[in-house]
Amino acid sequence: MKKLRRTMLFAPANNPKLLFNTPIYEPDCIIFDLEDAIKIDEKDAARNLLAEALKVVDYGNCEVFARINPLRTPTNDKAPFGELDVRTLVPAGLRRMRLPMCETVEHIEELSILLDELEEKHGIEKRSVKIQASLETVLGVENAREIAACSDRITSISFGSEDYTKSLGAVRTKEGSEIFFARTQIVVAAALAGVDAIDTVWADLGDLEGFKKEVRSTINLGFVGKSCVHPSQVKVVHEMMTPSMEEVEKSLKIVKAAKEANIENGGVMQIDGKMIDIPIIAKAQKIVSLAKGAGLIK
Amino acid sequence: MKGICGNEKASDVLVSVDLSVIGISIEIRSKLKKMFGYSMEKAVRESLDELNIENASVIVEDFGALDFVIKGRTKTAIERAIKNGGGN
Amino acid sequence: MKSKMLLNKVGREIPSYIEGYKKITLYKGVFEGQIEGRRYAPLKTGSRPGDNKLLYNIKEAIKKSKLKDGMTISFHHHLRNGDYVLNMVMKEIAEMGIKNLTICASSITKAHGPLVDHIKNGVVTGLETSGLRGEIAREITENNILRKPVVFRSHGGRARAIEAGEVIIDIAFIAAPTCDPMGNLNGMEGKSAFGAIGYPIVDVKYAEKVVAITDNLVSFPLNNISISMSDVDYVVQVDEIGDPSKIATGSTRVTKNPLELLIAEKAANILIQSGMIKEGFSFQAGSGGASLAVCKFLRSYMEGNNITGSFAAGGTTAYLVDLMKDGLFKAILDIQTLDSAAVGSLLENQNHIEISASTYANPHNKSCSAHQLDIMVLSATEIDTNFNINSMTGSNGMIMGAIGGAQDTAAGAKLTVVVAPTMRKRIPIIVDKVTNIVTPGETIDILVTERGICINPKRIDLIEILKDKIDLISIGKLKNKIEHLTAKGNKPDYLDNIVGIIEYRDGTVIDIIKQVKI
Repeated sequence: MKKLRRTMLFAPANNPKLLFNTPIYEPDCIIFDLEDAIKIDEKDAARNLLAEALKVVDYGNCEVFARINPLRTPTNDKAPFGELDVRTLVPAGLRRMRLPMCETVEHIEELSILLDELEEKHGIEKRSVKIQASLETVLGVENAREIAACSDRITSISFGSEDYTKSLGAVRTKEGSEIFFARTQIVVAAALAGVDAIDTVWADLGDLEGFKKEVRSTINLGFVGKSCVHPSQVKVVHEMMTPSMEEVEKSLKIVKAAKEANIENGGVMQIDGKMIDIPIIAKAQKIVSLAKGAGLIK
Repeated sequence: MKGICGNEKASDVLVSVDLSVIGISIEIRSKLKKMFGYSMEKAVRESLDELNIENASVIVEDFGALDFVIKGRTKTAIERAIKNGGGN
Repeated sequence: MKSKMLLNKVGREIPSYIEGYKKITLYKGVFEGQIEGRRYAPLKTGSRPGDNKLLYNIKEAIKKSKLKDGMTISFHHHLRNGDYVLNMVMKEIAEMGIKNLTICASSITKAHGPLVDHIKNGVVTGLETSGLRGEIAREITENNILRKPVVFRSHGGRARAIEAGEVIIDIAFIAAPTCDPMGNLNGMEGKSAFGAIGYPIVDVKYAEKVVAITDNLVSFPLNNISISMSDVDYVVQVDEIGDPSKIATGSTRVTKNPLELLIAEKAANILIQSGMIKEGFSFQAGSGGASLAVCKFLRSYMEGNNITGSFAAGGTTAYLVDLMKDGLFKAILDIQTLDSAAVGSLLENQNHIEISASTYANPHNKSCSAHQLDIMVLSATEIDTNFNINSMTGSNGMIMGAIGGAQDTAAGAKLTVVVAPTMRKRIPIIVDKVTNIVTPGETIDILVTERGICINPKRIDLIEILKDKIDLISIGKLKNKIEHLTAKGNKPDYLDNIVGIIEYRDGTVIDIIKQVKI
């Protein structure tokens, strides 16, 4: 079953309690932040703390990511912390990382070469350390298609709306029409590359209705998951992404029939007088997968 | 020669390291010293070993932290002490 | 008398004889042992027309009650941290030079700090209570200032002991928010009202003398009578029996802490999956943290499925009262009203029923409400792999809590659930052996933590119902997982002196507390 990534729950990497308590809320993914949430003079402390946590804490079924610091500055000089983050955390057990401010294929290649070196040096299975490219600038979003497809290390791409709207000179609104194009662009790029698309955060914890509205659009646009900043958001997203039992039953039927008719890879069949083709089968499989993830079926 | 890392907050520690001494001395200041002092000291020793430090005085002010937190903070305090001009 | 060490049913070593304590019977099981003998009765008294019970002050009441060295006096703790009465009475007693008294209190609160000096000065040489906190607890555990073990009893156990004459109360001092000159009193009216007055309802039937102390004297007859004048000897009027801001703590809020909410939600879910949340079910929960939050999650389920419970009991909070007002429970049985917001309901609502500590939890009467419970939700400071619970001492051996009604409700409820985090700071809650046993594991069914749910292996029936619906983990495995992060804590160092005896509700000894070596 494909790994669900409905929620990526952020936690600052310098917070001891969150390092061992975040998995309790059962997000699909946890993302420990070494970048924006950490002050410059605490970058080293956060990095070392996360490394020690990775060695002993059991994160259960949560997929653990770290948002490392960028490897390059906007002017393409070497950035101070990113490389050290990777060199410290991969040997400590980190296998998933979000690279922020990703703008070009070169950014990914540079990180990938560093990972090759570390996998070799530490006897880690080659290519097993994966990257989530975070697209947060105009250029990044523009290059989404290339970036998403450029490496087998890329499992997902994510959208960061705050920096994007800033770099565009737009105003970030709750209604979100200014980021609609970027979000769709990212979903398309991810779909073409066969990777997951992760939607941006909703920061206003006091506005539950607004959050639910945005999650509805996250789902409708085709994002696989959403970045979250609080455990309460995880619950909401999981509930909204949980199919109804009716949908589940229908989908189970379709998946079963498709398996029997052996057309999973091409063709058309009929169920209850309706035409069922590959896209519908794929959707049914996704629903079954969501149902299993939500614990509706075993 | 000296480095500090951590916070005086619940579940954290404040670790002060001085590399300009001879030998290893570890002082644990904690309400839980009786119960967990042995484990806290072990975490500090492991941190010193893992960074190949043979001379250091370490003071740990504990606020109910788990051992991995002690290790993370100790290692950072050591690295900061080295950067601040200490050596082994 | 030479004493040897015996082992009770939960594996605790208990000496066969303790100086100053009654004949020791060892804990042998929840409902084991014969119930024999008659209930105790105080001396007969009489009255005449024209009797005046109203005295000038507390000192006069103490004199008239003929308090002497070596006697036993009782107090209740309904005024919580706002109580003035115990301190006022003890101050007078000390000034009068009376010594060697035993205090049998329903509990001792943070308001009772001055007791430390009374103990050090020999005014008080015996203490019987549900719990101890703060400085008294520290002084007793570390320095053994009482020089005699404190006897800890549950609410039901205290009622039982009083009714059986195991503790004979010479004078009961009753802090009374509203009282008439003949001694009819209640706890639910007046500026210092606290609600139900369940604990001393027992005391007044068995004490030799009863003194009511009130800051709200009303004319005869009081129309809302919780304790009758037929059981009261004297009435004293004072300016204030307590500090309303500390008695009346408003409404206990449901926690917002995400961890506690998560535990509560998991607990509510398992209660629902067990099939026990159904029409007519009965329920009680502790008031702390996650316990109250369980009510919140059950509420949505009950509303969504049109379920009305028969009764809720407590430790009554405003939240429970709202559940009843909104038709989700038919009645509330109230031994102690925790929120001032709930006090009004006692007066207005016929179905908000005041009960005595005996009716609540005494195992040696004809029935108690604890035995009618379907579900009880508790918390704990420690739990061990046999599901024994500690709510009395910390992992460092220091006394800092109470038994409360836990022994009683856990024994009585069909399903007892403990809600607790896996660790507090870095101290693990699940241990190999609890520092002291308060509530035996055979009365505990399920442990719900944020990292796992454990069912007592003895409950094969529950495991059968729940194993396919809920992820379960063995308590031993969960303990190991947590110890991997916290490390095993060193056990406390003890001296030989026994500073506390923990009785089970039937009067047997379930554990002893030793003096802690610092």
